[in-house]
Amino acid sequence: MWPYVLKRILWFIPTLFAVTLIGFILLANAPGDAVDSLVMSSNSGGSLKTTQDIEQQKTYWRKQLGLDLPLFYFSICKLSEPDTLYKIHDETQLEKVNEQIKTTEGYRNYLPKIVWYGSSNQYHRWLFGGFNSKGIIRGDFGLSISKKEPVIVIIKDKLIWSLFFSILSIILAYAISIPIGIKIAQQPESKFSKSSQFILFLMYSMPSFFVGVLLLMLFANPDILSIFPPSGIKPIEGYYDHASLIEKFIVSVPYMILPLICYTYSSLAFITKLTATSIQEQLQLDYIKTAKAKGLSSNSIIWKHALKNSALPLITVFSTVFPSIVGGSVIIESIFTIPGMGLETVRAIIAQDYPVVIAIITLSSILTIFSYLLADILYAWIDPRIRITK
Amino acid sequence: MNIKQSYSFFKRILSKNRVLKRCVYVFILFVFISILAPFIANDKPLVCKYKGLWLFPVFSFKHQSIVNNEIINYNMAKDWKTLETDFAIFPPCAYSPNTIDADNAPRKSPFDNQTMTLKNGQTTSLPLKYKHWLGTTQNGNDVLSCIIHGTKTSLSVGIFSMLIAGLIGILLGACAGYFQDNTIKIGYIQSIFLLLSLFISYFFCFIIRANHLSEAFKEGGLGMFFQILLIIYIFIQNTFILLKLGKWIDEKLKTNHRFYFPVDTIISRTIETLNSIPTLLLIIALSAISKPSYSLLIIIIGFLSWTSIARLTRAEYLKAKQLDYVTSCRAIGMSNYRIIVKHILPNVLPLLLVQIIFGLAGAVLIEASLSFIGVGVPLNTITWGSLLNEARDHFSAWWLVVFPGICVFTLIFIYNKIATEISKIK
Repeated sequence: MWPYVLKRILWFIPTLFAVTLIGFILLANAPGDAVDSLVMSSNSGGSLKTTQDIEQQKTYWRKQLGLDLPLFYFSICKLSEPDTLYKIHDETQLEKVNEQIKTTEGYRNYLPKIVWYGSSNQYHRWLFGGFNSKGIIRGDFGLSISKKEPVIVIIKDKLIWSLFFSILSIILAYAISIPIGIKIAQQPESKFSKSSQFILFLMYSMPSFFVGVLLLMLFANPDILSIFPPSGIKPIEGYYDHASLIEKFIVSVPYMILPLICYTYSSLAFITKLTATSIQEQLQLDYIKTAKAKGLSSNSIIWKHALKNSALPLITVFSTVFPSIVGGSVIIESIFTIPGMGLETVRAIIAQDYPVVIAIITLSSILTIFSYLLADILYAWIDPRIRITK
Repeated sequence: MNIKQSYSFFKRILSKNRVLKRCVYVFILFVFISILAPFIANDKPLVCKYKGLWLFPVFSFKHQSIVNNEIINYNMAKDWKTLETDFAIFPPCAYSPNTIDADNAPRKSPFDNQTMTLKNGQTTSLPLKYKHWLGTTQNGNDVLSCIIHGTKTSLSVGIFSMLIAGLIGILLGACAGYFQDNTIKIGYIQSIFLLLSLFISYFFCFIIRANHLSEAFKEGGLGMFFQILLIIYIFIQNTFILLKLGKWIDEKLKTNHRFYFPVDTIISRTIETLNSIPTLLLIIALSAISKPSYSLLIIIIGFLSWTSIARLTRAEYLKAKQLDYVTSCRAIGMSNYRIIVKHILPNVLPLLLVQIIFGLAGAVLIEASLSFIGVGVPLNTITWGSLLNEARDHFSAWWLVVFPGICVFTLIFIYNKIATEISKIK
């Protein structure tokens, strides 16, 4: 088994690189000058009087953030361009230089060249660390522009909330839909299975934001029913002093019920259908007949024999459900104001805090890649045939 | 299959399946509503007779007309409704989505007493033909009118983005599934030329034309589509020319070393990478970086959601390649292109259609979600999602939750139902 796992892990390294590259391209293309907004916001008191002071501050921050380096290991540019063009940051100046190059150099404007910069570049520094940065490989996602804190400090608590909700909702979805799926597989023509299939299909088509607002309107509305609190994840005054983890959890339960319904309901239909079809397939096979002939009860046949053999597609679902839940958290968290990564994304985009946005995207993609890896390894662990054939 | 054949084919399928028939009819209804929106919900009357003159304000492109030395401004809703016309037929919903009815401004429910101010300053209750049937929003926009005009956005974002995704997905999936890793052989010089062509095309597309590109993407709309088509054309043309040149040089030099080009591996890895990035987050980030517009949203959704279609196409082509009819096609010496397009594609198209229709539902959901959180879409257009967003702070305004929500739900439900019913046919 271990050679298979190792091979899978090796295959995932290029994917990881590609994901970080996409994140970096987004970060490099973000509009506005990060240094400009940093210096301007710190200069709100008016401590920097002359433009020279401001320029000095800007060069300092540029050096601190590594923005004075070239973007990538190499760059493809015109033959006429000097290879130190990245050092000009002022846009009007850059335009002037470009104009000059365009008019003075003739045919050289239309020929390509490659410039090699080596490892002292922004991407390398961002990924592996370097001057003043540990790199995202060691968990350093840079500095948030609007909050002036390291991004990882901001994200850390939020990541825990998001992961908590997504994992809990996946467990809930499996716990609810596997029994329903089994029931449907046992009696596919019964009233229960027909009606439950129809209801699940309806739920599958409901957009999560509609369900979220509807739930809030019905159950957290002083005009109709005020059972649950409308927003947040804990009481406004916070937990009482010296509360243990379990006590905190119990206090937070009413806050969690509506979001959990919202997270869970949409994946129910999918998992139920898959369970039903794969168990139906298993029930046709000979070993089930043998088990019946041996006199085993129908419950033990399904739960002990058929379910184990139909576990494979259920694991596949895990790796498709997880990314959709991570993406869906943007909407659900902003409806219920859960302090998770989704809400932070919306806040960061409105505040134009791009390092935070990119950090969240990169981090959730890496998490998704690891969930794929986990699914692959679980596959091989459950079904030995996969290790041998692949 | 020509048009007449496919029409009769669809007719046969529809007559067999009642549920599918109904769903298709509701979808056609949506399409008609979106096309006829200006004639169903408009604050100008369809026909009116004013001081002996017949006017057709909805159908004319003028902004004002002069009747007996009096200027009638077509943009002023108040004017049309309080105008003492001899005769006027208003559309069923007598408001445009951007008309602001200040009299019923902060959220009037459908059952509230809706009022209007007459020209002489008197306030009366709204006559039935001007009623806000589904209530009003915070600013006083008519909800029904917003829903009718929002249909166009939801439908077009879904359909156009899935057209892009379907094209890319079927093309790449078919290549990956048919050629796999062991069909296309290229020589060494040819492979060097392939890299060279990528390098040159990148230079000509993105370095030399950098200014044109950034301008086009700032403006959005058709210019952007044109630039993207141009990029694709430059890449294909360069690759084609240089590959031929490389092949010619290989033949001249008589280099016999040729190796398999891993089409399948490259495409599968790309799919895996794109799949591992949460789509909604990526779309939010991309549309936050650039100026939000619907054409950009269509392109982004199209270029990100082809993966599921490509995966299915690849699997189907892998399966089809083992079948006898493909083997016999190859035995009589048909070209790969002809086998892929004319023989395998018609056989797997119904299955791909199912996936594309599911994708339509997903695209509608993405558009509605983005306008719900108000990120990445132009904020001046009112859509189903942004109506729901208004209800978030005011739960007492149930009409802002229920009606747009039901519309989004119905559209997604219809797409999903059509897809499942089509998949049952086979």
